[in-house]
Amino acid sequence: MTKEQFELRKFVAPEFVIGSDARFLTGRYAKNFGAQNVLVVTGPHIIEAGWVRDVTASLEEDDIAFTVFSGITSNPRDSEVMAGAAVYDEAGCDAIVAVGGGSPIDCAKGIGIVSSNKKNILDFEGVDQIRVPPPPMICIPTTAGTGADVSQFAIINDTQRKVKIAIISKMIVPDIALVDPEPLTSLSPELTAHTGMDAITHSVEAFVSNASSPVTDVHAFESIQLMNGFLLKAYQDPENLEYRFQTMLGSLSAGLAFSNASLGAVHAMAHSLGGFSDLPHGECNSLLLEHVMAFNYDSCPERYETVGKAMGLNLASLSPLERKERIIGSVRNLREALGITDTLGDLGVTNGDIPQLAKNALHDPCMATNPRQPVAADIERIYEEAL
Amino acid sequence: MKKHSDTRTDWQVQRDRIIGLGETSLRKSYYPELREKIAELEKKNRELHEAYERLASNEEELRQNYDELSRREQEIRSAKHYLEAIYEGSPDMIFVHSSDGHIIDVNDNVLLAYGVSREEIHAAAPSDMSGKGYTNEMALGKFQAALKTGKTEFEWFGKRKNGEEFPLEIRLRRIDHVRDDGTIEPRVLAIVRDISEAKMAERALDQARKKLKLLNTVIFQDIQSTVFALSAYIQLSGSSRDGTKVTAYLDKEAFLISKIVSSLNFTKNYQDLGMQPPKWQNVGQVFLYAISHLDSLKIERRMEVEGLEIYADLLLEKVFFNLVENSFIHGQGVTEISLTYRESMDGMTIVLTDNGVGIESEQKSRIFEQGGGKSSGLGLFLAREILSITGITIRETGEAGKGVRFELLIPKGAYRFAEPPQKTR
Ligand SMILES: [Fe+2]
Repeated sequence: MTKEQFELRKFVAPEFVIGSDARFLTGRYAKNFGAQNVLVVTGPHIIEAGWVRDVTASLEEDDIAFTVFSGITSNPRDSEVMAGAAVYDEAGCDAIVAVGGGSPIDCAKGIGIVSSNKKNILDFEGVDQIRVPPPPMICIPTTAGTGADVSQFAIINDTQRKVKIAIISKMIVPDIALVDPEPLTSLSPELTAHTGMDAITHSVEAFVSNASSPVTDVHAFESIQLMNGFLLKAYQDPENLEYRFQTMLGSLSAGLAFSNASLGAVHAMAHSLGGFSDLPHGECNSLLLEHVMAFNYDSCPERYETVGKAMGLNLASLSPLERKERIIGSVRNLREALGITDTLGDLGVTNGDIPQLAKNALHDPCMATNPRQPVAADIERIYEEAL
Repeated sequence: MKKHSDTRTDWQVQRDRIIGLGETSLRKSYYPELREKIAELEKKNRELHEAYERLASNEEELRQNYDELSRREQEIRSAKHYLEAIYEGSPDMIFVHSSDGHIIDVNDNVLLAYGVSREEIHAAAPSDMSGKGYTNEMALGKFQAALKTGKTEFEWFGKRKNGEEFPLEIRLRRIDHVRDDGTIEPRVLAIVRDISEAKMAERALDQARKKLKLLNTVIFQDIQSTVFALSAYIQLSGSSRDGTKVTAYLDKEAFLISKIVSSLNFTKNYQDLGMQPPKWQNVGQVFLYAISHLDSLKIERRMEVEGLEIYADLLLEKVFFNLVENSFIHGQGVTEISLTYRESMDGMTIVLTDNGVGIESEQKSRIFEQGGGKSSGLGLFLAREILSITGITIRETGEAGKGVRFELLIPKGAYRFAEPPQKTR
């Protein structure tokens, strides 16, 4: 037991309900928050899949009016946030329901911030920059990976500067998360793979984060075990609700872990990529994770060994180097099994982009909790490896 | 190196913030706002409660005001009853005029006195209801005076529907009529008294004084001339030695003295004249009193004057006495007298007849003169004088040999019929 384990630590988590049909509780919770007119923030595909209809029906059942805002792309943009906030004000809303993956949920968080503080969303970049609390917020995640439904993070695309900004504040932890595995059944294999790998990245980065704590460790460890055990199965058997539920639970645990322990270089670099070229967040993480692990490994090998154990690896008879290769290889294997075999180069990133990408990544708040503090050259090298 | 260490420091700060133990790293909280809302609601509630209390006390005040109002209304209602009773029960006529003289209301006395309907009176102008020479302008002048000073009083002549005029004493009072909208409309209240009787009494008293003076003069002259004659006979009897002559003088003297005594006695008859104002008297009743002093048992009488009343001096009884006494003394075997009346254009004629010898034509004009009668000569003279006090004239129209017929003409306004006694069901 080290002295650090007695440090004061905080663990923030929203109230959440997990289980089948949790989404039908939307009306009851909105009513509990005194909502009379709810802004439903979602995306077109989620509406198409029918999940939004379930949510609005629940609102109707409790006599709560609603306005749907679905003008959102992946990697939500500042302009979309501002447009959503305008709709919120115009419709006279008093609460927000986010239905979807990370994009609608982060956008919804942004709309809440803007509607309460009446400033551009980009003004809130960084940690604890929000003054006025946003309205009540209900999150219904439709992917198993984002963690945004329980986290204090919102990532918004600054379209002008072509960077993703991170807004981190306890004020944007949602008021209630209705974690329902049912919507996962409509996820494409590709999205299942990308979001699942995002969740694993959250767990690994939270676990090795220099801000991790015993409580976040519990969730991170559990999450790695769950994702390792069920992600591939869910990928292969998409309609199996049991597998879906386990990945949802894994994603939830990962979210709780990273929300409190924060992330690391993988996310810092992935945010940079996302801002630069709108690449899918989960895929970026997948392609970067093993390279960042290799870079970080020696600063905290025993943490990574625990990650390996969570992935079910038997490392007892192996040398430290063998262990490292085994653990990183295990992550690589999972990625490849999930069909994520492209490189950054395949996705259009060039050598020439790397200095700017590295510079932006170094400014990302996630970099603060990476176990090893990199310099620009370190980041550039990692990008190059992933190219 | 330097840059690297700066970055590290920055990251340290970032890390601490993310861990979130700083003062600003708080989850959103509704509780302070909730407390504010609760405090606000409590304040509103208190205000509402206070407003309610005020409302309740206002209501109490209103209720008291209402009680006060209904008490006032009660008072007004009872005052109105008094007024109505006075209005209808007053012996006077009461008019309510608008400021321009139009009649707004009258009591029943007005309708009775003027002999008009309520509709007619509302359409009437002041001059329509006034005697000759009394114009609308004069009436308006009186109203203006009342409006200006609050009151004015004067005498006037009214005119009934049949044209008959009658004297009035009028008191005008300005009254402020409050309209429904609360504004004030000045009006004039006229309290009008029929002073016909007072006027008649006044005239009668005046007459009585004149008569008294006349009678006194007559008697004084009578006694003076008799005393003059007496003193002459006393002188003659004093200077005469002739016993027969002296005896004759003494007889004359005794006669003259009895004449003086008779004159003095006569003054008793009229000394009460004009002592009291004339009165309405029931003719039949007064007649019966008058003849009760006479031995009238053997005489049959016929009386058809029921209910007839005339306005006459209180010596009316003496008048009837004198007239009937005249029949007894001079009628020679009168067995029957009658008292009847007939009404004509000029007024009411009361007719007193007997079945005696009557009065000869050449005497008729003298019987009412002083000394014109068969005996003392003053009885019928006095009767005429008493009657004339209230404008009643008397004449004898009988046919000699068939009995006397006295006709008393009573002018309009000086006779009336008493209400017939009410029959009980
Ligand atoms: Fe992520």
